[in-house]
Amino acid sequence: MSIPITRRAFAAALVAAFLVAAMAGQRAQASEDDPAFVFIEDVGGQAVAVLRDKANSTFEEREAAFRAIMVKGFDVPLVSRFVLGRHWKAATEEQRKAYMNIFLDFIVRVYASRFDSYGGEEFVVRSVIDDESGDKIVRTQVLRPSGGQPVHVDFRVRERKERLKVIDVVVEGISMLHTHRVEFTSVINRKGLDGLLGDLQARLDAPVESAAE
Amino acid sequence: MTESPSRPPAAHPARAALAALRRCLVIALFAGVLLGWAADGRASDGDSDPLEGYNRVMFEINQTVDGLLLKPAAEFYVLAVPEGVRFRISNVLGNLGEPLNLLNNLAQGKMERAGTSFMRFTVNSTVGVVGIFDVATDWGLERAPEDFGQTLASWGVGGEPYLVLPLLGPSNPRDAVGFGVDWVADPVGHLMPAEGGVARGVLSGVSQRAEHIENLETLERTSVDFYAALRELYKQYRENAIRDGAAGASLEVPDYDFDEELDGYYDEDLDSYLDEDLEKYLEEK
Repeated sequence: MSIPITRRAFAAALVAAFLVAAMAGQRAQASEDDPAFVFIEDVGGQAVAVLRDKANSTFEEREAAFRAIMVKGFDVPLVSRFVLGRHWKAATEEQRKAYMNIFLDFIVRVYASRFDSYGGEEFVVRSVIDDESGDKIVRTQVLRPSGGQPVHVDFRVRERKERLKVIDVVVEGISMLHTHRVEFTSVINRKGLDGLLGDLQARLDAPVESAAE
Repeated sequence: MTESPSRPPAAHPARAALAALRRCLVIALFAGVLLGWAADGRASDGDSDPLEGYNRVMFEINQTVDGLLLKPAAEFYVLAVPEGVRFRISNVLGNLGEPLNLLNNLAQGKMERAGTSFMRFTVNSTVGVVGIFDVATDWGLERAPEDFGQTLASWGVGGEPYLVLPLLGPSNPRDAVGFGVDWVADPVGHLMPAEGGVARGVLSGVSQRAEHIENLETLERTSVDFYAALRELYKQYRENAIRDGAAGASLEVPDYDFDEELDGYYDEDLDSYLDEDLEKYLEEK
């Protein structure tokens, strides 16, 4: 008879499952005192607070709040400069100024839009990794209220003038910073920098559809 | 008359349709892979896209097909099927993929993850009632997804050049071959009747598309080059999958000389007055 064997296999499976679960719980984090840990808990907490009560705010209000969070917590000048890559050097004074202005609006719109579908999620900071570049990688998870697979979000944090600043947000392994750089380079190669500035403005002028209804 | 188990495979319409679909896909994959390898060996720096001309055309065709067929189907699915049920369906489909995860984990010598896939399939198929409930995740057994594209990567095959496949979308020769091998090798596919295979294929296509309706719309609305954004997204997504979600190798971000290079291009006073704005906003809400 095969029933006892199946049962035994099943019991073994159960025991193993509990062992794995117990081990996962034991991997305690020692990085809770890290300033970067606290900093990201703070930044993430602010974003969560903005997204929590969407019924009582318009997208424009949420976007304004994201703008404040990002100007304060992100190294926007560094991000702007990095995303333009080698094209920064070739740009004229006027182009650079125009670009710096428009990029801030653009990146705020991007983050406010892409995170607007979030609502009742829980934001948990998991650990801090010292990157070989000297930056800190703060690993976090966004837990879905429906109980689906958690979303992994890494924040890359760098210190400038004694203040911690986010320089990249990596969602499920996808870096916003590098994706923007590749995208912008592609547009500049085809249309030039003025073409990119025009396209960015067009994106900002387009009507916003909020994910919240 | 009793049905003979040895009837010819093409006798059934569903079986014939599946065979035809399989043939089309194999041809498309083969053509794509040839194209990809023909172009390989040319420029191969980080953001290279030697097939960009072909890729952009195929991308537009795929976008059109998506707009006419797949996206409407996904939208109908979202309207017709409540979220809770869709969630269960995607659990069942995910569970059917576990044997393939197990095989690919074994092929990569990842014994712990292979064990996880085995346990997940065992637990979810029984306690989780054919995978409807993902009990395993609650027990700390997080998914350990692997496909043959990742297996090839672990054997040293690179992910260049980027290749947009007909209907299947973003890929590269390695992942295209991986997709084909997974399809042929999938133990669940062999055990299922043809109708089940077709239903599973259609349902997983629609279900996966449905999960990304909002994301893709937002991405398209907030990108200046949707094609390039998706290309970069695909590359990084695959690299992340190959690393099993471990923190990535650091991509270099230089430390610019702010006083020299960026002086005068941004307003440092922004910091202080925006602080107050934010505090006010958070207080009000």
